[in-house]
Amino acid sequence: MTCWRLRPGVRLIHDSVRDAGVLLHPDGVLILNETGARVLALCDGNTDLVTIADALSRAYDAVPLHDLRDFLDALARRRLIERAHP
Amino acid sequence: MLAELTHRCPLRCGYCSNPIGRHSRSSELTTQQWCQVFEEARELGVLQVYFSGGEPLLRRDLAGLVAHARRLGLYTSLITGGQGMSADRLADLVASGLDHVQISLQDADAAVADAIAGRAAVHRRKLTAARLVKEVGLPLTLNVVLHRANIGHTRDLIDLALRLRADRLELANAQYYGSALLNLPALLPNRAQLDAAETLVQEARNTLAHRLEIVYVRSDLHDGVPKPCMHGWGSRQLTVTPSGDVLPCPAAARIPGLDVPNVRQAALADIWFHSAAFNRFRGTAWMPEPCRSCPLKEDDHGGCRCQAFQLAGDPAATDPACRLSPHHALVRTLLQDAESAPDTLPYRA
Repeated sequence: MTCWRLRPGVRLIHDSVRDAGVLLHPDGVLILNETGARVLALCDGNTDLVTIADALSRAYDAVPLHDLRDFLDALARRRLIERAHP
Repeated sequence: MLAELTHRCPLRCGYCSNPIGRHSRSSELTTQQWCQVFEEARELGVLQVYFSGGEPLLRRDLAGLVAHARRLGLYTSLITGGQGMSADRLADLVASGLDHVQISLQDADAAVADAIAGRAAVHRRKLTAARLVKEVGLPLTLNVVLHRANIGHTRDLIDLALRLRADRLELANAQYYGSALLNLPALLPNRAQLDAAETLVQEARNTLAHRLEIVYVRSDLHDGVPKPCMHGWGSRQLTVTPSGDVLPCPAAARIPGLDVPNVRQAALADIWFHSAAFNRFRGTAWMPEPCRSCPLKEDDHGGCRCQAFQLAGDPAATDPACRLSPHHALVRTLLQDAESAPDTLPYRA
């Protein structure tokens, strides 16, 4: 089971000016859509991929696991999140 | 947002891009004025504050400013030369919510680094500061301005970043403003030096991707391709100087006829949206040929306005770094001179 967490120095906030989730990191900002913000809020080091997908599917239409995996892999390549070992 | 808290600095680097007639201490914004600036910035939509200078640690109220910015929800980075950083000072900053520290290095070799910075024991204090930052668990970026005197030490700089367990290493070719412009003949590397450094960076990026992020800022003069300066004038970033002037880029104060707005006279949102200074080169309508009909105009924004002014004498000209610029011969001459220039250390004028 793979769990993710934000890397040290990366913060997730809700920006009231843009009314959007934003990932803040040493080199800049990533403005998130609603789904992205929901996923990252679950990157707490203890929630595995299947659980995240289930949570999303309750809020939206079914979210394919491979889409979720691609999204998280892309963030990991940008050194914004890392694998956790709970 | 870049918050230049002070232009006072204990170092004397010959590549410094700050204005040569720096602001004095008495003209600096007060603690309260800075707090107000951060509040207005957050309301405007600013998400990041880089506490910079000069040397921001020379401001005794730094921790309080960080705390205020952080309470507003801003991401706080300290951009420092590492002098005057003690365990106690850092503990205060951590308690204030500081998110990230960037420390500048002049070279990997202590003697060369101190000669470039113009002061003894500078490098040793920087290494101590870097270790303190890692000990408290903050992400650490090391920033090195590359020029003729240190670009040959790129491998050593990467090794040093690994030894210090830095998270990021920025290797940035010098930008030629302020003292750097005066020292350009002594700073500009030749083509062979630049190629060797870029090869090393590429190799290191491939082998170290999981340990160290290496950010490389290319030399637009050598490339013949202008940099997308500030991602466009008045597009994403603003700088507030020690005295409260608000600039679309840190070097813009030198552009003639720029009616520079100040936070003491106007609200930040008003400055951002409505000031003549922020609208002067915004978008593409101001562009001359060859930019106007160039398919890359939305990518590079015509390059750097300050460089256009300094090299071509016209801030509205195509950046002479661009090989399509009618002034590009100026840059070719600078590069030819660099091929035969002697290796001397640049000191601040």
